[in-house]
Amino acid sequence: MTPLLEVSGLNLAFGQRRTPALRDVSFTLDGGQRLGIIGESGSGKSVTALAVMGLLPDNAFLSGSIRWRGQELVGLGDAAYSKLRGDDMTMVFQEPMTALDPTMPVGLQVAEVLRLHRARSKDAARFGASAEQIVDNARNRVLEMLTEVGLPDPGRAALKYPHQLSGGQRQRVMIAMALINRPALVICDEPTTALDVTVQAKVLRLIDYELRAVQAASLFISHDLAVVSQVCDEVLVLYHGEVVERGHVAQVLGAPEHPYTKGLVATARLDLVTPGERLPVIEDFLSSAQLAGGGAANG
Amino acid sequence: MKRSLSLTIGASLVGLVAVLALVSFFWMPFDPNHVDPASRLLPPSWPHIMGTDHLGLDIFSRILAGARICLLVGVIAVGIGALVGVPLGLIAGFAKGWFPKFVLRTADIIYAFPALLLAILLAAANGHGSVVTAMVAIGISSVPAFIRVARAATLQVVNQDFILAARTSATPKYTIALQHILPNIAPVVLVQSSVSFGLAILAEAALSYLGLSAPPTTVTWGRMLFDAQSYLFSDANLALWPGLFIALTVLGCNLLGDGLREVLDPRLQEVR
Amino acid sequence: MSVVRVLASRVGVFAISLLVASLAVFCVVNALPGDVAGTILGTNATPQAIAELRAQLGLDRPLPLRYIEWLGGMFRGDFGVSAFTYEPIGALIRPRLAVTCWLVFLSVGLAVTLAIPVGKYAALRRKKFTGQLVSVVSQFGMAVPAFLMGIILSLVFAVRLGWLPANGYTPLLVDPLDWARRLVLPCTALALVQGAVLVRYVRNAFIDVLQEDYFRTARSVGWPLRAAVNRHGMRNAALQVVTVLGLQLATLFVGAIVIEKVFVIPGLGSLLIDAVAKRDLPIVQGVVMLLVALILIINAAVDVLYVLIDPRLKSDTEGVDV
Repeated sequence: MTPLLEVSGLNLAFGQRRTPALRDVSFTLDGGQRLGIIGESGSGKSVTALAVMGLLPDNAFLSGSIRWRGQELVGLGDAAYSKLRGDDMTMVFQEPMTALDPTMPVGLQVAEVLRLHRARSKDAARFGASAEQIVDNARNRVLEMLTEVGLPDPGRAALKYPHQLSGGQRQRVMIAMALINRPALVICDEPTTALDVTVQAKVLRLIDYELRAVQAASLFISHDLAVVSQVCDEVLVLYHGEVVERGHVAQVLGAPEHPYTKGLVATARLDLVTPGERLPVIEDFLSSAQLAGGGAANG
Repeated sequence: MKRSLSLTIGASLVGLVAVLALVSFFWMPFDPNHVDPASRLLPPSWPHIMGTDHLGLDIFSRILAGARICLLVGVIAVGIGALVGVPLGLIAGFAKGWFPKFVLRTADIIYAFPALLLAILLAAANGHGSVVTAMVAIGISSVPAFIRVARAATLQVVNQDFILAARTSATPKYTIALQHILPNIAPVVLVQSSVSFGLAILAEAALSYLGLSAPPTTVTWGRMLFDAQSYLFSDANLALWPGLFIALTVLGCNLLGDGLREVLDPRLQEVR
Repeated sequence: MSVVRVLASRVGVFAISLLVASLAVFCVVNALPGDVAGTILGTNATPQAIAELRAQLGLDRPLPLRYIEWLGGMFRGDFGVSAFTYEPIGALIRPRLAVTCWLVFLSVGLAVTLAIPVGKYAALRRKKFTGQLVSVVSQFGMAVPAFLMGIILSLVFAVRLGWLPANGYTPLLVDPLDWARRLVLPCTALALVQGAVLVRYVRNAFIDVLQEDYFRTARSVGWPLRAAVNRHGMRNAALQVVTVLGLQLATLFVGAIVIEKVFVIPGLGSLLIDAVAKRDLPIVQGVVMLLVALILIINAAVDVLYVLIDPRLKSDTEGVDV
């Protein structure tokens, strides 16, 4: 069986100097599987996600292969890619403050995602419906979705503009937009990093629940090991644009093999540090050759 | 320092005009006001390399002489704008209470008097236009832009840690303003000066064209265009040169402003 | 703050600005030495004759009183009379205001219809040759004075090609076709120069939008590039462009003065320039005040428009985290 997403030999460089950002990155993802991608900032986590979504900036040079249900995505035209995006594969971004259009009510923004992919084709075919019915159906589905993501008073919330909602509420709207079309893959790029700690846990639980509900696969990007271990089955460790380790969450975090992963795990376990001792830093775990060798940067 | 094509071209063009103006003080092929009916409306040729106009005046000499007024107007107008606008903008960004509001409202009102309208008003009240009324009018009308730019830049700087540190250490306000804020807003002021310089030259040209700036004996590029208008259809040469030099100077100022912005303001470098 | 309160305070600011501006105009015109009486009678006039005329024109009365009368008159549409022909200035202004307004609004319409697609195109293709070509051309356009553009256009299209009349004006109701033909060149001249400035702003506004997170979101939910720009870029870019457009309208009224001179169009500009040449101070004072008031009105209108199209300014309640 072909995997849902198969990335192989992905190389990415930016700008005229071709600063490398990813080197020979390969991984596969099956339907419903959740893969965490961890690494420090600049390790290439976010650009991996953007590469899969086909949303890299113009100055990016991408080579290698990204296969979606066996179809090659590298070099795919914008029109064909746009049909996938938001329907079959979606993304939740890090910055809830700026990721929504400030000039449009949030309900409309959610409805747009639905209509963009559904209303014309699938709904019309399914219901043989008139335009009004489609709008009605869309409205009901949007309200249903907003309720599901836990927005209080969804009917009123739908009419609000992003600046009238809190960060957590906006991220819930983002999640509604990402899940309303029941995608096969949801890429989450640090979805809780920008939120207050108390809200983080709630939003994380929501994502976990929603992914399960639609049985979507997920690429879950985070620098937070605790978050990844809560949500993901497997984890991929990126270091300077290279995959240095992959395996089950428990295995990788319990018995890390690569020095970088060891450092990552050790620096996260502050409870193990003897009071008065210097805190561990990642560099403690890397040989000087590894430190010097990792020239790839830019996330 | 980052290299910028706009900066190079802009600085070269403005530099060229400055050189022309300088040269005009030491050497001009002909007296720019020497009427010579025998050599009227000559095409570009030796010794009149840009030709002559309807009075037999050497166009090249007049372009050289015109560069002086062009620069003078720019320098004085920008000088007025910056000297009045920057301190007001700085205080408006720095101070609290009614004063900032007052400054901004005043700037809005001055803004309703564009250079041309103000110059017309001054010329009418004064009886006739002159280079001085033109410069003063253009200068005053450029004040609001400097106020806004200086204020916006000050607001950005004023909440940064080193200013707060200076404030908590009881450094006198004017010391903070002069030593900490002014150097930090200098780049934006420089960019605005460059842009205003170009606008001043455009405004002066328009005023000369309307006969509201220099008297006929003073050589300006705008005046040359005005004189050239009657001969436009037979001798486009007369209008070509002053028009070209006005456009190139303004282009130079705009490019210089863009280049300075690219070099001095890292936020405008394209990210991602 | 509610919309109503924002609007109310804006109207208040507008009224005060208008008052201060009128005071400034009045002072500049009247406080300087020499006045209309001296100009009318010439340098040979006896002091008695001047004093008589001053009394006749009401110039001997205290300045504050004259200011209030002038101001009150303008509210009733009475701008006083010309110092030379004694024609009421209001009657002189009215038909000319219409001419200038046609010139300005047609130009701004033309400039906007040119600048928005061109600026958007330049933003989308900013790294490609064609996009950068647009930027270079707009740089040149910005550097050319409007009157020079007018001269060039009339040289090419009126004189060389003979397609359009080089100057003059026909009122719309007299002969609509001729009205249009005579406005093409002046409007194009104004629109090209202002359009060049506008293209830069539109381009920058769209480049800003293209780099916004919400634009990336729009792309991630499946909007193709151009649709995303139109759907989520246009309104946000418009917020930035509207401000500039207001400033542009103001400069266009002034640019129209010069263009009217180039194309010999009987608008406010030519009235004003003639009045300056004759030193007809009441006309100068009236026309300048009218133009300043128009600019202030436009600025106030832009502010109001801004409040109406930017939802962030309507209310600033933040939700509570749940």
